[in-house]
Amino acid sequence: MGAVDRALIERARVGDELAFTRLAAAFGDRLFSIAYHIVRDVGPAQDAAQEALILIWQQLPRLRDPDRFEAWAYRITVRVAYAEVGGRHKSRPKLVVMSELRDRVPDSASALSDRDQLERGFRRLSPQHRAVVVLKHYVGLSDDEIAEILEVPVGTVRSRIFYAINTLRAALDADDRPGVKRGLA
Amino acid sequence: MRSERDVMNLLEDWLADGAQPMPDHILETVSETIPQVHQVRPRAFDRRMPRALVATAVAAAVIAAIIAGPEILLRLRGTDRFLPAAAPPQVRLCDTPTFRAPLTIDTLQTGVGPMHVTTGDFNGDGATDFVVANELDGAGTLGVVLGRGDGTFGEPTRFASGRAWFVAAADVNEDGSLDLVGASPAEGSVAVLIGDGLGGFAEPRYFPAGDEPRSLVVGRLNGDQSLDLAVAATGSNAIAILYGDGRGGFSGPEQVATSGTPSSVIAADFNGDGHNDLAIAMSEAQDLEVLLGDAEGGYGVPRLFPANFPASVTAGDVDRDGRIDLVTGNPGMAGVAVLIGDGLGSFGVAQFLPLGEGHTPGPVIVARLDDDLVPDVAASDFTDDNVVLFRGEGGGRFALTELIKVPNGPLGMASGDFDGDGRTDLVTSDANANSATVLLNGCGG
Repeated sequence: MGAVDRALIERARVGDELAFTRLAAAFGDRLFSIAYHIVRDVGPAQDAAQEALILIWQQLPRLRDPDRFEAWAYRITVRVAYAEVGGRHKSRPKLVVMSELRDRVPDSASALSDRDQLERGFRRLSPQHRAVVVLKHYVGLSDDEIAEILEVPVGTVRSRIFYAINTLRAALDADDRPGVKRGLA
Repeated sequence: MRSERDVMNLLEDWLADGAQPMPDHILETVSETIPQVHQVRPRAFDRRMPRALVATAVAAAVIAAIIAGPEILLRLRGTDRFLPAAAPPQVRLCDTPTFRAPLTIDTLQTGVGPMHVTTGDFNGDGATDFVVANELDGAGTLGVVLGRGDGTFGEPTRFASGRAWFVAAADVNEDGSLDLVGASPAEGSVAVLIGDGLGGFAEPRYFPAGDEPRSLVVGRLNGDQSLDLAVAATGSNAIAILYGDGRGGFSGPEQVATSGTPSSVIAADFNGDGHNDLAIAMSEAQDLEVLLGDAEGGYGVPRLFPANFPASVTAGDVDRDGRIDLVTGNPGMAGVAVLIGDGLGSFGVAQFLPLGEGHTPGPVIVARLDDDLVPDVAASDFTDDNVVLFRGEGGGRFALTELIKVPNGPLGMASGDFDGDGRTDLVTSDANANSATVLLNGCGG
């Protein structure tokens, strides 16, 4: 952690709106991706990212240590994403599907099947499990850093990762079993 | 069957590939919205602001809202959704620990006299559960209460454990599921209950742990990777070290003499050498004892630090300097002490946080209970039946903020996120009321 420009953080803390906009542009992609991976739905992920950014702006003067900015921002984003998954916007229709947002390089049939199974397995995970997986395997944080952000013991982080990986492995292995046709499972 | 590494590689590729750039309209909306969203200034600034000025500012804000009207909407480009321009965020942040009304769970069903409580995810569902040590429940039980992840809980289940006074949760057999370890002073042993990962626990295996074991900590204490136990053996003025075999079994104990009667022990790397050290609270001694560990499980000469008769001890980086600090509960002196670590195995002069006569703070917890990332401290107050909150103010300084009434005799306390909102909640074991009380961190909500 610590890649975000400290000068921008300092300026945004004292109310510099332009600095905050630049800050948001610099790390917004990561916040949005974290939110998306936790809620697995583009519309709510957009709402979560937007709400997280406004909260970050609103509360930034209270962040005493700018070096902790990223951890603090991740924590807020995860919390807002939890609220989204918790049904705050369950009635909202999906407006955008992922395939419309991103041009993909064509994958092989087996890779596509793996992605399908990962998607299914990932959706079976609770938001808390997803958050740990995303912070570790997407953001690249250590178990200790994740524990600090999520306010859970390190042992809980490890047990959630263990559970999540086994769930995903079960999903992938289910597709490998004889009689299960690749890509059609 | 795919290897764990294969699954992780696939997962990392999939996550990276699924990462999305934030849509431009979000940034545009945010940049248009923030001028209308007032930043929240630190409380110290608020306190210095004269009341008349606050009243004027509030009145001005109200008038401005009336003139501008609440219906200013910003259209989100590319969608049909609208967001009020200055809509207050729905997830609130708090700058002081704020808890909802206590939720008391009748643990008569889990047992009698819950002396201690700890938290963990015992059934792997992502929700935080807790377990209480019911010393006086028949021959002694551990009462497991599974959380649903929304701040509610299932029916408690009791597991035979001997007369456990203290309980810890850790994966001692390295199968990915939490196990339980209870310390029984009456029987001079620890009970190890292997978890099945579904919330159930096997029959206990008992291991001798010195005379009157009252507290323990699980950690790696010698050169191998298996989890070991350090047990405060109150009756033998020693820490009993039990070495784990990684399969749920323990050998020992090896006794490490202490300078007084140990009542609580915690393990952490105080001097940054990569090996766990021990801090030992001795309620009848003025000092806190620190034993610096080496790679083989040996300990150096005890170091003593005045701490106002500490009975319990916990570790955490309260001043966020990257070095471990210690916080103690001092029932005899009716307060809490904070000792700032220097990262080399020594601790500074204790900062004593008095509660006043009639209070007996026991277990202490270091956790971020509000949203400012500065660690706060919670202590259970056994005789006056409170949970006491000290707000971290940075630099290792704390201010008493609140006493929350809980049922009779909160002898144990633990923390976890019970309702999945990302905030640290608390649970007490109320020894005299035969209950456990959950305090959901509500941020005023």
